[in-house]
Amino acid sequence: MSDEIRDLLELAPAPRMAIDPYAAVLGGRRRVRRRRAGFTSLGIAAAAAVTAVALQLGGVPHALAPAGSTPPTPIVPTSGPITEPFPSGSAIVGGEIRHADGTGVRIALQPREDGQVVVWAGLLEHGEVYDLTKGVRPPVPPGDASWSYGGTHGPRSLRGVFGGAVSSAAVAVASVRDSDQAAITVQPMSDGKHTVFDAVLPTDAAFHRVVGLAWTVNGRSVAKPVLSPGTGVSLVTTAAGDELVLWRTDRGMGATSGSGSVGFATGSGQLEVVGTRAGRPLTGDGAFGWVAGPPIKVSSTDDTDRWTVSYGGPVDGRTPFVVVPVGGTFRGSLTISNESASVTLAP
Amino acid sequence: MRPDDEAEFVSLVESCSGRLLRAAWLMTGSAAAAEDLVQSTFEKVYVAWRRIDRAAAVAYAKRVLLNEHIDTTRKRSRERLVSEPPEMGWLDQEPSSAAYLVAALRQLTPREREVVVMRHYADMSESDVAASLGVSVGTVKSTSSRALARLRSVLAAEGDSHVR
Repeated sequence: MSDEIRDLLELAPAPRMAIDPYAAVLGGRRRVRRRRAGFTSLGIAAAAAVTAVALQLGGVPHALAPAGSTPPTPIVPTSGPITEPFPSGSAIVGGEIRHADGTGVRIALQPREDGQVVVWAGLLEHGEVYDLTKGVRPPVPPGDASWSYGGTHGPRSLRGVFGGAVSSAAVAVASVRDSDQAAITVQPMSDGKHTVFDAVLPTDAAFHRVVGLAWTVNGRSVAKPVLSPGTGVSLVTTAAGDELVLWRTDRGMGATSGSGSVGFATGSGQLEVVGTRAGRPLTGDGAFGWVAGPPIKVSSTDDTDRWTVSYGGPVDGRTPFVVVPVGGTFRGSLTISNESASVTLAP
Repeated sequence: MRPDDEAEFVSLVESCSGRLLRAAWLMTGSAAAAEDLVQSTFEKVYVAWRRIDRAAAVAYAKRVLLNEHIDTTRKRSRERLVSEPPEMGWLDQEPSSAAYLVAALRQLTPREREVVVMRHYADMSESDVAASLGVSVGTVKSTSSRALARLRSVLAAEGDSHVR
């Protein structure tokens, strides 16, 4: 074979890609368990082997490290069987979600004398608790969340608790495929000050591409991004205080707020823009995207239009932005541009 | 899996994931698809870990990667957007050597691309490639020759068109 072709195969610059060895181990364990489950009866013992990853982020928005850096380390990795019973008693704050097919999740918050809280999370199947995990952390206030992955029986599950009374939530999955999008259910807990949630991640791709979680509490969208190899992820806070997770890969980009998620297949340019309609994922019309270089300029064909522009932390030389109209809608055509590109969105 | 076996597996992932990712990217043209493919590959290697000869673990992983790519491209599937088409526009970037290499490889058939990448980048043996593709070694040789000739001609044409 000619040297030029071999050199090209070896040396042509490739996009940043990475595999998390721990995720490969978790995925392999799931496949092993699925194969074993095919040979067992449905009467599964309560003390099942559990492997879960608990990811907890603080309640303060923060700039993210660039994509491709080390993924978040599990804070409370749990391995081996947990045989303790699910806690009960007057001091316990409990909540559960039961789906029509008999599956669900159960969460309990157990206060400790040192002010910390033990968060218990288990999967439900026809009233029995499986895959029990627990972790210790500070109390979960409004605007904060605690969650863990799990799910040896059936689809992958992202389950946990939000602080406050949460009316809606969405999982940010960095994929443009409809089949990868997660369904999430929320339910108030017994004290009315916390909300349990259960998100079903329908595919392996969805499981590996979760880049954040967003929810609506006290009328405001709160978002928590999660680092993911090969994906640019950033948090953007609008002038109204709503938080969104924006992500981009070489296949597309998307945004998630407490109202929902959108994702689109896109190309790659100096300026990438998507227009959104009311409620998806912003409250009202708007636009979001990523820009390489100086800040964007926004103009409208209607002199009465007013808007705000908010930026997130840059990732790989690109800065995410969100354009939100004052008053909820744009009357004119919006043009978003930078020094080298321009995009016009029709009303 | 025992902890020391798992440590060995993690060591394999750390040592060869870079090369496998690049091979997957060369075959698929997409970083995201490459990561999906290699993740799936390693999960299957994990399942088979007990019966794999450790000295041949990398070769085994390459075979699994090729099989995964074959399964993925042979399935009839279509990506669907999660929402209505966007109102948007974007500019093309300047061509880069990576972009026209990927574009050149896309001029090959999926089988030709698999043979070129796995034989001449990933250094899989002719017999392993033949076994994965379900063809004879002779067919692998002729596919390789044909694909390389085509690639040379495509790259020569692209190179001429990008001369400044």
